[in-house]
Amino acid sequence: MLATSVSAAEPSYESMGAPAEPKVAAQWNRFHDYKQSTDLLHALAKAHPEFCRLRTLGSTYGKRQMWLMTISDFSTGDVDEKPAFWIDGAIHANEIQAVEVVLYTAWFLLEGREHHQSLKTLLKDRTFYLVPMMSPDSRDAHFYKANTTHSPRTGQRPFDDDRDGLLDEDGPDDLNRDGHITQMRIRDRNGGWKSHPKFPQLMVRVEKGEQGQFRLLGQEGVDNDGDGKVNEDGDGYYDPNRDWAWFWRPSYVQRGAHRYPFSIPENRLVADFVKTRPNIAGGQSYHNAGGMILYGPGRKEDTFARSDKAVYDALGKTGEQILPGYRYMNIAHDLYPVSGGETDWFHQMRGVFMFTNELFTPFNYFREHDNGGILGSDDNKARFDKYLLFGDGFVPWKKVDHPQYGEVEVGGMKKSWGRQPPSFLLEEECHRNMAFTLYHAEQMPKVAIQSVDVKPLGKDLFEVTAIVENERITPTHSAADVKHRITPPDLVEIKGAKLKRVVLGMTADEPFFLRPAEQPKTPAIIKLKTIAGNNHVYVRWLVEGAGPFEVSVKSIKGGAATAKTK
Amino acid sequence: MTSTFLFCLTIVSLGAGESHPLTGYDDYDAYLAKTQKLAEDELATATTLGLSDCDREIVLLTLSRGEAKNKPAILIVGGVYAPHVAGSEYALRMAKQLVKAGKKAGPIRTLLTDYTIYVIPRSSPDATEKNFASPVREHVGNERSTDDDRDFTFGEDPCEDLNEDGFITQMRVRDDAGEWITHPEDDRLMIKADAKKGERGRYRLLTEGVDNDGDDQWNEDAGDGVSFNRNFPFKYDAFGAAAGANQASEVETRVVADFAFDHPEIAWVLSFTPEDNLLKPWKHDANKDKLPEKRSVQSADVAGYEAFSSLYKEQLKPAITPNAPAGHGSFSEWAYFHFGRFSLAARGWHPLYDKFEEAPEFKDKREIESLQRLAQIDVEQSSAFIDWKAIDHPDFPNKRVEVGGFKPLIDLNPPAARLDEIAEKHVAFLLEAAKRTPKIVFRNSEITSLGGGIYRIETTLINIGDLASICEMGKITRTPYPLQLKIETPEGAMFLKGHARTTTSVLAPFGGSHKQTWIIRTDAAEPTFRLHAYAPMVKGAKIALPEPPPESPPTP
Repeated sequence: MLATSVSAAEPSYESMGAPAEPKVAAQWNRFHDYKQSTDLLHALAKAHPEFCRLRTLGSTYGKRQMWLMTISDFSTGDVDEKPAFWIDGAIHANEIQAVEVVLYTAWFLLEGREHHQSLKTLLKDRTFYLVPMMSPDSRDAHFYKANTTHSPRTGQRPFDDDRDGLLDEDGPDDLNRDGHITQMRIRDRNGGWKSHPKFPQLMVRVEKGEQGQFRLLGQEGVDNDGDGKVNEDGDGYYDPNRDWAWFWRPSYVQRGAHRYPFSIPENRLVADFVKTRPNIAGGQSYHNAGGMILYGPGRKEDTFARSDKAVYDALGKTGEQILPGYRYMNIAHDLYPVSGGETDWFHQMRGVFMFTNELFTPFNYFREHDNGGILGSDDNKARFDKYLLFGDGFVPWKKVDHPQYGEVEVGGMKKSWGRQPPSFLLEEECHRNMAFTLYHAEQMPKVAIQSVDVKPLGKDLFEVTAIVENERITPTHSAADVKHRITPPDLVEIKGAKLKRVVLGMTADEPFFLRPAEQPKTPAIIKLKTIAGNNHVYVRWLVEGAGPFEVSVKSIKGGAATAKTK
Repeated sequence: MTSTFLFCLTIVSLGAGESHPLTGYDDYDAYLAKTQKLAEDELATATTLGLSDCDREIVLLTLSRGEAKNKPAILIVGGVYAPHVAGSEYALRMAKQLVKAGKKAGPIRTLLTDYTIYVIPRSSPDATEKNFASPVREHVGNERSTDDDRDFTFGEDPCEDLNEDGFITQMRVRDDAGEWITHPEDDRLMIKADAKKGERGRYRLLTEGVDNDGDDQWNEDAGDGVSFNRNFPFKYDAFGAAAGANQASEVETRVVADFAFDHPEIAWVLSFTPEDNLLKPWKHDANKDKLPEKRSVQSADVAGYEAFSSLYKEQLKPAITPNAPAGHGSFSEWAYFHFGRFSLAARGWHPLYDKFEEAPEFKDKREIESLQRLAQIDVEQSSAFIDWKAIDHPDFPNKRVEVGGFKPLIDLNPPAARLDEIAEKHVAFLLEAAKRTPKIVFRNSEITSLGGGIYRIETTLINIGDLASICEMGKITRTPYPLQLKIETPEGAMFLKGHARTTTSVLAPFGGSHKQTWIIRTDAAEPTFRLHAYAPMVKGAKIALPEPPPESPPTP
C-alpha cells in the first residue's frame, strides 16, 4: 500500500538546498506583495530573535515602511561592529522578483543556519543588512494597478512630467480592465503590421510591398487631458536609481534624476542609515532583467582604481559560474551610462564593493542565448508561452471602444512575465543569486595576526615584529576609500603589562624592512590605510620594558584579531 | 566628513577697545523679530521653510499686493555665503523698503501688484550667527560638526587669537623653506615667490593659531560645518572643505531648493553673494560647453545677463570692480545651471566700489586688488589691516613669527550705517530689472466660418517683451514650465485640427512668435472661442473670438 501523505515533521528523504523543516514556512515559487513580504519579515523576526532584528528606516510617501532586517549572530559581539554586507531589492519596483531574492536570502540564512556550519560561521563573523523593498509603494502599484512588466519603475509621488501644471494627468488606461497594460492595434491594411504566421498573438512588421493588417497605436490608453497626446504624463517620472550622490547629474543630462541627490526621501532614509555604518564592506542590489552581474562605474568619464577593479573581477568571474547565463559586465562600458546610480555611491562615497544583479535571463527560456537582447526574442517568448506557459502569457486581442480612435483591439504580453521568471524558475533564481552574495560576503576582508616575533636587542630593548594579514579577496579599504579617507584606518596596537615605552613603530611590505614607513606619532598604535586582499603587512616596534606582549588588529570593515607572545 | 554632533554657538563678546565688524547688524533674534514685525503688514507674510539644526527658522517673506499666487515671482536670497552677513541685511532691508513704499501709489506698488517677491533673507541662519562671535573670523559653515581634514577626528585643530586682538588673521614665519615673500610694491602684502622672476621664498604663511594636534599642520580642522554655498549640486566639490557629505546634505540647501522647484512662477533669482555676476556678467565659454552638463552661460542668455548688468551698474557705479570668486556647489550658479532661471548675483558692496582719492598706479600688478585696498586703507586711515607684529610662538621657538593681515569680515560687510542706502540701490535696480520681462500678446487672431458649423481659428502668440519666455538654460534644463495655449469651445465642439490645449515652443524676445490654427466643428449658433495663453512665470494673455466690438469711448 502506498502512503497517501508524508508527515511534514519527519521528512523521509531530505533534498539538498532549502531546509526541509523551517520554523517559518515560505513558498518560493510565487511573488509577495508588500503586506505578504512584511508579514514574512515579522514572522522571521519572531521565530529567530537571537539572529535577526526588524526595524523600519521610516515611512514612504504612501505610508508604507522601509523595512530593514539585520541578520547576524547577536550573541557574538556588537553586530554593528562586525564587517557587514548590504543587500537591497527592487529600487525599480516593477523588477519584482528582486524582493523575493532578498526575502529568500533572509529566510535561508535564518532557517538554514543550524544545518550549514558555513552559515553559522558567517553569521558569527558578519552582519547582513537587508532592505528587501526599496520602493514599496510602487510594488503594490505594480501588483494591484494596471501596469506592464516595465512599470512602475518610478515612485508614486505625483510629478508633472510635461510641466503643464497638472500632475500625472495622462497615464495609460486599462481599457479592457484586466490589470495589465498591453498594446492597442486597429485594423488597417496600410498600418504596416500583421499577425505572426506561427504565433498569431504576436505582431510583426510586413515586408516592403506586402499588405498589412494592423496599425499599432502604442500602450493601452486615451488622451485624458485633451492635449492630443496619449499617455504623456503617467506615474512619476523620476528614477530612484538616478538619485544617488556620486556623479549625480540633473535630468537634462541623466533622465530620471530628480531635484538633487536623495531628493527621493525613501533613498535618503537608506543613505542616512548607510552613512552611519562604516562597517559595511560589501553590497548587492537586485534589479531585473537580462542576467547580468554589473559593477561600476556607471559613467565612462569616471574610473575605479585598478586594484578595486581586480576585486570585482575575482568575485564576478565566480559569480558567472554560480549564475549560468549571467554575464559579468561594466555598467558604463557594457550596458549604458548611468549617472547617480546607487552602486556608484556605495563604491565611490562609502568605499563599499557592490554589485547590481539584473535578475532573470532569457537564456533560461531554452538554456541558450537567443540574441534577443535583455528580454529575449519575441519568437522565443512566444514559443516559451506556447510550450511552457500553455498560452497564459498573452492577453488575447479583444475589441474595445476608444474615445479617440474608435474601435480598436487590445492585447499583448501580461505584466507578470518578460522581466520576471515564471514560478518554476523563481526559486532557482533566488537561490543562485543568494549563493553569489554569500560568497561575496564570505570574501569581505578578514584580518588575522599570522605571527608575532620578539627579538631581544640587549638591556630592556626588544624588537617586536608582527605579520598582519587579510585572509580574503576584498581589501580592508578599497582604493576609493583610501583616496577620499572615507573610513578610519586599521589599527595595529602593541600592549603589555611590563611594556614601558614604544620607542619606534614602523611598517613594511617585505620582511626585511628595507624601505620602512615610520609612524612618529602614537607609534604604539600603527595606522594602516589598508590591508590588500589576500595580503599582509609587516609591523615592527622597538619597545622598552619586557614581554609578554599582546598585539591586536582592529579593522572597521575587516574585523579584529589578537595574538600574545610568550 | 560630517557627523551629527552639534555645537550650537553662544556668542562671546569682543575685547575692549575693538568693535566687532558686525556692530549694528542683526543677530538671529533681532533678525527674526524684524521678519515677524514686517509680516504684520498686509503686503507681507512670513512663513518658515524649515528649521536649522539649531532650530533657527529659515524664514520666507512673501511680498505681494493682493493674491500672491498665479502671477510671476522674483526670488531674492540672502545669507548665501555666511560671512557676507550684509547680504542677509540687504535682503531684509529691501523687503522692508518695498513694503513701506508699496503702501502708496507708485512704481513699487505696481511691482508688488504685477509680481510676487519672495525673500529668503537668511538662508543659513546657524552659519550666519557664527560670524557674530569673537574672536572675529569668517565662518562659512553651519553648526554641523565636521572633520575638515578628513583624519577621523572632528574639529581638533581650530585657529587661536594668539595676539589677543580679537581677530583671527595670519601668521608669517621667517623660513627660507617657505614659499612666500613680501610684495615688492607693499611689504604688508604676502605673495608666493615666483622662481621665474628670480624670487626665492622667505616666509611660511599660515592662519593664526597653534598646531593643536602636533601634526605639522596649522588650524586645518576647526570643525567648521557645511557651507550653504558649497552644498548645491552644480559643480559640487565632493569630499571638499565645507561641502558636506553630499550635495544637498543640509536642511538649508534642501528647503531652499525645494521651495524653488515648488514655485514654477519664479521668473528669476537675485541672490546676495560674493560671486557677483551683475558687475562682471558671466561670459560664454564654448570649451566648457562640450560636456553633456553645461558649465558656461549659454550664448543666447548672454545678452540678457548684460542687460541686467547695465541696469545694475547704473545704480552701483563702482569705482573699481574686483574679480569675483568662482563657485563650487554655489547657490547662484545652481539657480541658473540647474534651476534654469536667470540668476543674478550681487555682492552689494566692496570697499573698492567706493571712490577714494589717489588710487596709485602699481608696476607689479600681482594681487592688484589687495594693493589698491591697502592704498585705500592708508588714505582712509582705516584699521582694516592689522600690521604685522612679532609674537612668541610655541611651535616655532627659534623663528621670527609675526601676526597680521586684513581683518576678517570687514571687506564683505560695510559699516551698518550704510546698509539702508545700499539696499535702496538694490530696490531701484529691482524696479528696473522687473521691467525686463517677456510680454505675451495675441496678434492676427481670426475666426473664419467654413460653413456647416465648421470654423477655422487662427492666432499668433508674440513675445513683444525683452526676455525670452524661458531663458536658454531653462530650455535645456526643462525646469521652467512652457507656455500653454488653451482654447475654450462651446459644449460638444469637435476638434478637426488642433487640440484643446497646446504646449508652445519658447518665444524669443523682441518678437518671437507661435502660430496656431484650429479647425473646430460646433452646433452652437454664433459660437465664442476663448483663448488663454499662460505659464506660471509669465504674465498670461486672454482673448475671445470673435473679438467684442471696441467699447465706445466714455462720453465726456
